[in-house]
Amino acid sequence: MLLNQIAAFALVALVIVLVILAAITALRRTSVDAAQRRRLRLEAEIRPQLLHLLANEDPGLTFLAPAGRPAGRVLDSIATGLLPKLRGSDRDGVVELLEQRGAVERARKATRSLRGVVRARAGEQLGDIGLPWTQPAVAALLNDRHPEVRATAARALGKLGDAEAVPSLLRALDRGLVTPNIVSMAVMRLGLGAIEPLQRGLEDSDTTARVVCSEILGLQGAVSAVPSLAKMAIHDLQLRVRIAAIRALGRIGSPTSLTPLLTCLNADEPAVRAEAARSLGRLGTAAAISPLTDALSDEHEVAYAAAVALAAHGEHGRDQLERIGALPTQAGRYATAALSTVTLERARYAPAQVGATQ
Amino acid sequence: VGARFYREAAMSTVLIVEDDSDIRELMAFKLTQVGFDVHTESDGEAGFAAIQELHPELVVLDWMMPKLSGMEVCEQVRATPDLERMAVIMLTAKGQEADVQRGFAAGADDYLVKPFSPRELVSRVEALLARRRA
Repeated sequence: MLLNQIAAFALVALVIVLVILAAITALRRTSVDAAQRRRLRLEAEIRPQLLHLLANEDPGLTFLAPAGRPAGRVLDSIATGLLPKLRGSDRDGVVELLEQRGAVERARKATRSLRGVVRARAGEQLGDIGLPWTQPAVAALLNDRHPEVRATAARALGKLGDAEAVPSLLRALDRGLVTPNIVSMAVMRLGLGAIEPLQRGLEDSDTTARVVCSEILGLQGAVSAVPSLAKMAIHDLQLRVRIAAIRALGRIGSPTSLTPLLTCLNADEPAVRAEAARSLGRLGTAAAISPLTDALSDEHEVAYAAAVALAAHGEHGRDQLERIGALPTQAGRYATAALSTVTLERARYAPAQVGATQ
Repeated sequence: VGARFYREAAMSTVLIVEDDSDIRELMAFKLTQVGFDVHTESDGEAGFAAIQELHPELVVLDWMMPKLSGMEVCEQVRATPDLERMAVIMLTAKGQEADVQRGFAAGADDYLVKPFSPRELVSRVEALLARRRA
């Protein structure tokens, strides 16, 4: 009897709990749906207003600043979403609006939130807004415990465009906190202002940091970095740093790189000699034709690179390849192969060039 | 560019084909404000249909769009006899030299890279139409 009573009581209790849970779920769903509908309604009201003010070049943008919650949150979200799409004075107007609304300060504080997703969003928002004074808050996120937050911070530092961020980015790279490709992309966005800190980065104790700095200096055509890169190309203890420095010298294309590149063409390591050949091809100096011709008798990797480099030397290089190609030697075979590649490339690009000039 | 231009511009029809609603609306507001008769579409297929129907003087084409890309629309415009004189401005996030070259090769008259300045767009539209009228 007692057992039956306990079972009945447990059943009733279970039913009550289930009903309560169902009610809570339904209430929550209703409230989320209502919030979503409210948000969409607000967006539909605010977006055209904001776009109209922007289109009218109206300083009245700031009239929107006092908007309270939740309209304010919707306004901030729409305005922030517009930033990556705009530039010039229209963008400045949106930034001013966000500053006046306190959105920038809120995002700066949110970089210290306990929730990783909030910190990441704040970092991204500050990057999009692009005010240099927010850089320390974003740079601090490079030490975040979540890799996604660190990656977002690195990208945001690139968008902020302040070259002062380079040492922080390189430190994060040294410590393995952010991947080299993300750091490279971020530093590339910083433009020419990053050249000086990148040159300092060539002396970094971390191999990857030196590689990244060399590559970016090469891509930016930093002529002022040629002496340091030349030194690294010959003397650095790490092979991949030497290769990156040689590649950078080729990309920069300064005539002063000829001597160090010729030295590298005689290095012990085939990978270094091959990269030197490629860079000499980019340099396009007549003085490189003879050493590159000699390199046609080197190991496969070097000989192939030398043949392609000669083909890139214009008429003189191709004349040389034709002369060597007539010989029944290894050099002759590489020369013939390079000439065939040139012919194929010409055939491939010829119709496109005609189309482009029409 | 002054009052005379705006009087002339009032007669001009501009079509904006862009899938990003913010950019589309902002451009539409801005160009309407200067006096153009502005129409909008959000994908390439609808955009080309609108071009054939409206015969606008100028069309602003986004490159990356659903159904038909801006590049394909531009090529179709240039291949259609009664549309070939239409001015085309390509608007795109593809800012590399080769991309710009491809845009012009497809028949674009001007090229604007995103992120863009709405004021610059208006200036380019005005300049392009003024040159066409000259």
